[in-house]
Formats: sequence, C-alpha cells, structure tokens
Amino acid sequence: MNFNTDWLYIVLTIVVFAVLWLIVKGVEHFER
Amino acid sequence: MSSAAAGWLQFGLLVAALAVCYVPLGNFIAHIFTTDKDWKIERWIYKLMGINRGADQKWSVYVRSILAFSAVSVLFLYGLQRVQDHLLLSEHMSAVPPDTAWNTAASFVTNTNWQNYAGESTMGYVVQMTGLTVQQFLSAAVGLSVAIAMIRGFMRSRTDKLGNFWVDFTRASIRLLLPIAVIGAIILVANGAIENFHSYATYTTLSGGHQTIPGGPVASMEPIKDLGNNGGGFFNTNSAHPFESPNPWTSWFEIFLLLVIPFATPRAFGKMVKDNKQGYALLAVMAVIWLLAVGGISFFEAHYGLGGATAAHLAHGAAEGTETRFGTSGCSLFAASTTVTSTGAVNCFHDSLTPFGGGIALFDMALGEIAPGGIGAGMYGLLILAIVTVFVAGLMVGRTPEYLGKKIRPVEMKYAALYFLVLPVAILTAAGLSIGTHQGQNAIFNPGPHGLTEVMYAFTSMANNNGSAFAGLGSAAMWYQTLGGIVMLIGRFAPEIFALGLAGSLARQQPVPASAGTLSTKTPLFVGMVVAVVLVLVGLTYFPALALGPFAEGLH
Repeated sequence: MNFNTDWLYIVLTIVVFAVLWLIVKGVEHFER
Repeated sequence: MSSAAAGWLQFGLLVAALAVCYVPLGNFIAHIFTTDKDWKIERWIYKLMGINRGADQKWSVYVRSILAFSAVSVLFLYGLQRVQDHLLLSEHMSAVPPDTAWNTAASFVTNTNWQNYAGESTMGYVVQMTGLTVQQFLSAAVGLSVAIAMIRGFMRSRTDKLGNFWVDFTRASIRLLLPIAVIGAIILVANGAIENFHSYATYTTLSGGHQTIPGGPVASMEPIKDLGNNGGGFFNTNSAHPFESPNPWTSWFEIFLLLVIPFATPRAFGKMVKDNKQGYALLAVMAVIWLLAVGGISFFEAHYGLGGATAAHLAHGAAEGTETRFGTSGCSLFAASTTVTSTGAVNCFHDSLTPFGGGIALFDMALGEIAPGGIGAGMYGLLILAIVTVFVAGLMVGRTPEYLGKKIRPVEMKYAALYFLVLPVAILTAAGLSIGTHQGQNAIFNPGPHGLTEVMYAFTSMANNNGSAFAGLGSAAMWYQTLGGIVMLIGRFAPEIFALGLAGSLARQQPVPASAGTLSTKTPLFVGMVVAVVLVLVGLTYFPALALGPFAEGLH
C-alpha cells in the first residue's frame, strides 16, 4: 500500500515540476 | 509594567534595531552579490558540484536551475522522511506517512513550512537537522537569489543574462544566512533554548500524572526558521514553546530576525541600482503596510469588544490562545510580522485571534507578502507592484511608464499580470474545490464563516508560502495534504518564473534617460500610490471571500 503511495507522490512531484517546466517553455515561446 | 507599555517598548526597540541594521546589512547584501571575489570554501563547493562560476545564465536557464534543484530537494526530503525509522537519532519514531511526508517536503522546499504534523512526535533528530533545517537555509537562499536576479534586470542593459543561480545561491547561504544563524543560535542557547540529543524523558508530576519532556537540536534550527522566513518550528506549538523561545526577550529577538533581512533588502536594491533613494521609497511602502498590520491586529486584540470575542472580557484582552509569557501585545506584534513576511512562525494561536485581528492576518498574506515580505520574495513582489503602479500612474496622468530607466511596455505588463493572477487562481480554486467536495468538507470542523475563514487561511498561507496555520481545520486529511502540496509548489515557483521572465525582458532593454515626462519613483506620492495599488489589487481580488469569512463573523 505504502509502496504504491510512494510511487504516486514521486510521480506527482515529477508531474508538478514538468508543468512548471512547460510554463517556462511556453513563456520562452511567447517571447519569440 | 502594563501590557500596553510592554507592547510599545517592544515595538519601539524593534523599529530602532531594524533602523540600525538597514544601511550596514543592506550594503553587505549588495556587496555579496556584486563582488567578483569568491571565498575559498565557495571555490571548493563549485569544484565539487561542477559549477562553472563564470557562466552567466539567461533568465530561463536561471529558473530551470531553480526548478531542477527544487525537484531533487522535494524527492530527497520525501525519501528521508519515509526511511526515518532506519535512521540514527530517530527517537524510535516510525516512518512519516506518505501524504504527510510529501506535504512536508513540498512545504520546506518552497519556504512555506506549513506543518501537518507535531514535530516532537513525528520527526526524529536527523530528519529535523539534515532535512528540514537544511531546507530552511536552501529555500531562503533560493528566494534571495531570485530577488537579486530581478534587481540585475534593472541594473543591466542589452543582455539576456541575469547572473549565475548556483553562485548567488551559494553566496546567500554561506555569507549571509549561515553566519547570522550561528550567532542567533548562540544567543538563543544563552537565553535558555535547548540544544542537545537527549532522549525524551518521562517524569511523574506532583499530581501523579506523567509528562514527557522532549529534547533536540532546537536552538540551531530556531534562528534560520525566523531569519529565512521559514517558520517551521521544532515543536508543534512553534515559538510559543519555552524550549524554542524561553522568554519575552527571545520572542522579541525572533521577531527581529524574521524582519531584519527583508527590511534591509531595499537598501541592497538601492545600492545595486546606484540610487539609494529608490531603496528608501520601497522601504517606506514596506514600513507603511507593516505598521498598518501591527496597529490593526494590536488594536483588535487589545479592544476585544470590537472583535466580538467573549472570552476576552474575562481576561482584559483577547487572551484566549495567547501565550501568557508574551501577552496580547507580544502576540499581536508577532502575528502581524509573521504574516507580512512569509515566515508563518507563531507565538500564539491564530485561530483565537479576534475575527478582525485574524482577518488582518489573512489579508496580510493575501497582499502577497511584500511588506517587507519573505526573504527575497518580498523584494521581487514589491518591484513588480512598483512596475504596475508606474504603469497605472502613467495611464492616469499621461506620464511615460518608466521605472529606473526601463520602459514598462505591454510585454512587461503581461508578465506582471501573470505574476499576480497565479496566486488568486491557486488559492480560490483550491478553496472552492475544498468547500464544494465531500473530501474537503469532511475536514472542516467549524461551521459557517469561521469554517470558510479556516479554509481560505490555509490555502492563502500555503500558496503565499507563509505556513502559519489558523488551525481548527483538519488539514492532515489526505485531501488537504495533497492539494496543499500542489498549491505550495505552484504558489512558489510559478510567480518566480514570471518574475524572472520580467527581469529578462528588462535586462534586454536599452535604458532611456529620465525626461520631464518621467514619473519620479522616489517621492512620498509614489509611495502612497504603491500602497494604494497594493490595497486595491488585493481588496478587489479577495473581497468576496473576506466578506463571507472574517467580516461576516466579526459583524455578526
């Protein structure tokens, strides 16, 4: 149970930072 | 000495101490980030980490460095808590549950320090020292680095480079935070704060009951908790615990620590842009809002009848939930100072503040914490507000919108608008989802306006990376742990992306000389306009939620 939950939170961390990374890319695109 | 006299004395000494530190500390901060000379220990760190210290970074590279570092930090801190039961000095504590561990990891990496756990019964000494305290240094250094990069946007021209994040971050940690924190820890130990690795001891009290006395490396965590505007205490009751803050003097000292760097940063700004009067103007904005917050909360906590708190009638002040060693005046000064910065440490129970007192604390955080704000975060937030003010003033009186020789064009205003929209969207969406779903409703224990205030306070505190808790809300429920973690990460890093994007845009510009059409940004008129823009912007954004929460409760 906890092992699965651990993976859930690891994936959630990666997803949130990926979204932030995409915002940076989006802003760069907007700049050009 | 009466409570009122003690309050005025504390306040007067605090203002005097901050005034004394303004110039030397501000100059020192400016020197740290403008000198070319590295310390030997810094060179070792660069070598060890493979950092090319001479490489200037574009804004997007700077912000990506922050994101990469923070993502790794969240995962490391999460893992450390999850294996706590295998670590030394864990005081026989089990692994931190996954949802609490993730919320805590997001919380400490984002400088929020929202705590859904009681430190003394959840975290062992190694996690407190090597996980939480380390992040209190690093997250503060990240915030200051962003502010410095933002200032470079004004200093530089015809470049897209804002400095090197790794160098700024290392210098902020080594030269500024660490030395002050060490001195602060020695002062706290000398005044009775504990610093040990003793196992918890259980004693039998005179009445035959049992009491557990915790130990721990508390004094070494305490200064950076305040200095770095973190706020996460070693113990559940934070700075109301006598092992964290043993007496009224240490309480005063902690308030001083949480204000000293944010209030000195405008001086660093003035020094770096070579116009100290610009720094004084921003300092004045910060001071006016801080004074309004301190005065407002102190007034409502002292004049209990206006706040409607009934228990206060018996205690000659809104004393319920107040630590008696500090009194209502000490609580008010701390509550105002911790919520106008992004600290979130508490020395009294904010849920027990009078409705209007608590409403001001909530409003303070909704201001985006720019007065003086969190370490670095207050400075870049206020600079963006100054840009908005210049633009609004330009529209009103037909002046050219310029700030420090940089034109405020539509592109800069788009960055500023995005910066200001992120937090209300995160807060109001999360609060709306919590109120509108069973998962969120199940953890709201107080009905009516007070329950709404608790939900609003929680998400406002998390999104603004404050971390103070109104309490009364079952925020340890998985819903609030997970949603809160997401809100903290978005609330910290999305505004930093737009702030650095704006800085990059400013750095690329060729400065224009001031003309007769340029609005002066170092006059009392400009200070008043910035304060007005801050209050109107926040007032319009949060007024419906504030009206249904603290105002409705206070006027009932």
